[in-house]
Amino acid sequence: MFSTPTVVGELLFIGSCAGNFYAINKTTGQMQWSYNIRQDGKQQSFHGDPLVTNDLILIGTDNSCDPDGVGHVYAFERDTGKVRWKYRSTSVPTDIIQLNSSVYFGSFQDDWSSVDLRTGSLNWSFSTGVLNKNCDWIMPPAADENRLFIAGLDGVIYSLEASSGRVIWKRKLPAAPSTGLALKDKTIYVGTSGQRIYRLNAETGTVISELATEAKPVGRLAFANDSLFMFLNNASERVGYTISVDSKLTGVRWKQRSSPDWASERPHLWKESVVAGNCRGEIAAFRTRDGEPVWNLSLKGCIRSIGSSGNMLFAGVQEGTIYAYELSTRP
Amino acid sequence: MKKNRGFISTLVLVAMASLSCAQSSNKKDANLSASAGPELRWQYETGG
Repeated sequence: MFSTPTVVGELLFIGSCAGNFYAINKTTGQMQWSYNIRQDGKQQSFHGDPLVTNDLILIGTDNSCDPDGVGHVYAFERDTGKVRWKYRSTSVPTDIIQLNSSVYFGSFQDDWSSVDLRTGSLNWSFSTGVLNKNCDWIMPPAADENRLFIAGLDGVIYSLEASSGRVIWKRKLPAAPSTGLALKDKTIYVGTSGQRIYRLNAETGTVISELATEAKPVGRLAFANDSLFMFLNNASERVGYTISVDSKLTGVRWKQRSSPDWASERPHLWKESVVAGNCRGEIAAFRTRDGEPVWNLSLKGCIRSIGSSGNMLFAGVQEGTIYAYELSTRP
Repeated sequence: MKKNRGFISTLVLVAMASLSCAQSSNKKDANLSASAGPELRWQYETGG
């Protein structure tokens, strides 16, 4: 799978399924630098969002749940691809999150770590102790000014003190989390396999409100103003939905059904549209306001990640191609 | 014989040019179906 296409200045950063991390000129498609992670051990995948700092780009790597595999967090110098430091782990399939001078990430083994951003040395680690026998997906974490929020493989949502890893609170919902955690206005949002979306108070973990959904919420959540967007998945019927709900979870504002289900992990917000891609190479955009289809296009491959910068939209497909589209400025 | 080889080469070139045109024509169709959507600028093959 591709990591999320991320643009900084003129460069597009993306990791491929074959173990290469690329910096590509976003306008011309010319590669500026690349790094092959297979030189550092048995690993070849990039998942999740990279972290961009003033001069670095950090990305996690893994070899899925392979017990012989390894993973790292790489801190690349953005302009040259030089490795400033790398932190070795069993796997790092999650986003890399920064709080102050530390970065945070999780592994397929449900170990969560804090590492010093400047040196790459370990600050602390936290483990739920659950064995990931089925190679379940590790949900992306969220963070506020001084706390990290994670969904453990034990189905529990934890609030950890960012400076120490100490558990501040934990909350077990009636069903296991099935989406990444998202934080907005001191409220945590999460979907569960029980076909519900929850709002939790970030201070206490108390459930504020919840909303039943037509199918299981999956992937990541996205916000625009007071709307929350997500994908739902009915795996048995290979049907997916893109839905918009209000941020207080009082009801569904609009819903768009699709078959097959969306494969691009999250509704990507771009130009007042929600953009989604599937494994037939179809990309569709729906108006954020009311869900009306705006445009669609076709490419070759299973679309796994979508990113954007200004008028440009980027899509990574599982088969290994990165596509760059540009919205015409002509009237 | 030389003339024939030249003729065949020309045919091959014409055939290749047609294939190219067909490809670019397909691209246009995809963009037309996207109506006001974005247009393909470049693609990069990572090989996997």
